[in-house]
This record gives sequence, structure tokens and C-alpha cells, in this order.
Amino acid sequence: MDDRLRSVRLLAVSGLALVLFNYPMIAVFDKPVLVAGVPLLWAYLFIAWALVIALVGWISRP
Amino acid sequence: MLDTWVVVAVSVCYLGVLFGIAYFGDRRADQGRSVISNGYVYALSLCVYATSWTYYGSVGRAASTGFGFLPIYLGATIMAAAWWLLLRKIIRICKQNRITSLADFISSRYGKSSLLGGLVTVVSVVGIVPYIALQLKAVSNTFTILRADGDPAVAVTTNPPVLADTALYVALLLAAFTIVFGTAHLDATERHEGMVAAVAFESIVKLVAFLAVGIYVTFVLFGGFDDIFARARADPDLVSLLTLSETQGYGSWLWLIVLSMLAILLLRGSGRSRSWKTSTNDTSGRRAGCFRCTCY
Repeated sequence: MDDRLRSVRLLAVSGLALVLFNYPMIAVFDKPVLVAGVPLLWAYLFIAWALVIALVGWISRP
Repeated sequence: MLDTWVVVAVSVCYLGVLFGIAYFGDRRADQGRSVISNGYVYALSLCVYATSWTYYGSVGRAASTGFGFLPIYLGATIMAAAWWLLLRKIIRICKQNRITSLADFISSRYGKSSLLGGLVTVVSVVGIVPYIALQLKAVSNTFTILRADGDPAVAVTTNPPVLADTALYVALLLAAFTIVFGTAHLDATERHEGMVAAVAFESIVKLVAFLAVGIYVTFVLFGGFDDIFARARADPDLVSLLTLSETQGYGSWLWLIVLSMLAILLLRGSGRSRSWKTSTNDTSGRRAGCFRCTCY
């Protein structure tokens, strides 16, 4: 992939992560309910986290 | 629980293995067959981010604020995505100007002001002292807990006189290691391949240890994730830990993320981009590495 394109995409993922991991997004999921036995916010944060890592891995593939 | 000599002997053996790996890594680097030039080793070496105090600090935050331990790692992930752009630029500047310390870096950016460089050095030293003190405390606490018969809380909270404090001896030992292995090399731009290899190996040990503890606690002490959270919900003291708004505000969450974004950038330690070796970076990374050696 073009170096510049890769830079821009990675920066965009960084920005996406900043949004996903912060208020107001986390407030949306900050409810005292359990999803599959796990608190909603836990489930949300770990899924979002895995998604961000997968995106970085996908963009920076050789 | 454990005799002092057992703890000391295991620590020394583990340190020996790490130094063996470091030696091997250095030799392979001399032969031009680097063991660290692949993405997995680099990723593992980033674990210098977690210092020995992390094991107390992070667990403590999880116990007292529930989600509170997470922003430290989420911030690091956010920053890691931006590295391609940011870190590469920093490394390029450092290489071009043969910069090896944070003080040099900042002063070179502002017209090679030696006053500014001196100021950054002083600030770094002032900042790093309490940080190092925490690491020492973590090591000596671990030692005390491993040795303690009966109630570990009592053993840790007692304040021993200076000469009976394990932290003093740990500090002396680490100072000796730093002098022998760290400052013996005069070329500051040299790659510390062996050190990176040792840190990467440590990370595997830690990963296995953490997973073992996690699986044991989740599936042996408790009956899986749903059991843990169901019981936490039933406990009036713990139920507030399951939501963020009740334990800490969203504001402090944001600041912790920002703080950890800066921390991972500055504390990267002896990663591949060793060009940025400062009192805050490489030394702390290397020391933290040594600290953690003694922890296990």
C-alpha cells in the first residue's frame, strides 16, 4: 500500500479509537445490565478494542 | 511461605537466564543475524510499558474503581495506531541529528538552547525519582509478600528501618547492574539488541503467568465470567464497579487516556527505535526490565 495512504488510514483509526473509547460513546453503553453474563460496558470496550487492533493489523499488513 | 533463599535463588536464576538471552541477542546482532528484527519480538518488547509497579497499581485500580485500570491500555492502543506517522518522524530527526536523549531532542528543536536542554534534564530527573521509588517499592513489597508467613498485609505495611529494607539492597543491586551492563558502552547510538530480546522473553513469561492466573481465578476459583459478575452484582460493595459513571467520572477517564498516550510515547524504552534514549526512556525501560526480573 502507498505509504501516504497507510499513514492517513492509521491516523484515522487512531482518531476512531479516541472517539470509541471516550465520552459520549462509553456513556451510551454505561448501563447496569449484563450481556452474556458480562457488564455491557465491558463487552463494548473489549469488542471495540479488538476491532481497533484488527484494523491496525489489517492496514499495516505487508 | 517461602524461604528467603528460595526467593533469592529463583530471582538470581531468572536474571541469569535473561542475561544469557541478552548475550545471545547481542552476539547474533554482531553476526548480522538479528533476532529482534521481526514484528512479534518488537511487539513483545513494547511490554516495557508495564513496569513492576503496574502489577500493584493496575490491580489496585481494578479493585477500587472497576473500569479504572483500562484507560491506561486503551490510550496506549490509540497512540500505537498513530506511531507510523509520529514515531517515524521522531526517529528520523533523532538519526539525522544523532540525538540520544529527550533533552537533546527538545533543545535541538528550539535552536539548540543548552539552557532548555538543562531544564529538560532537571525536570526528567525530578520526575523519574518518585517513579523509580515506586518500582523499588513494588519489588521490595513482592519480596516481603513472598516471604511473609501469615498475613501479607501486615508484613507490607510495616515500615522497616533503612538497613533492613529490601528496597535498599534492590537499589544497590540494580545500580551495580546498570553500571556494569548499561553505562559500560560509550556509544550512545548503539542498538541494545540483547536487551530488547531479553525484554521480549520476559513478556512471554509475563503473558503465560497472567493467563495462568486469569484462567485459574475465572474458571477454578469462580465458575466462569458470568459467575464472577453475577456475584459482584449481588454484592452491594461491588455493584458500583460494574458501571463507570458511579466510580469515576468520564473526565478523569479522558485524562487517564491522554496521560497513557503520552506515557507509551515517552516510556517506549529500549524498543527498536533506541535512538531516543533518555533518562526517561531507555534507562527507565532497562531499569524497569531489571526490576521486573527480580519480581519473578
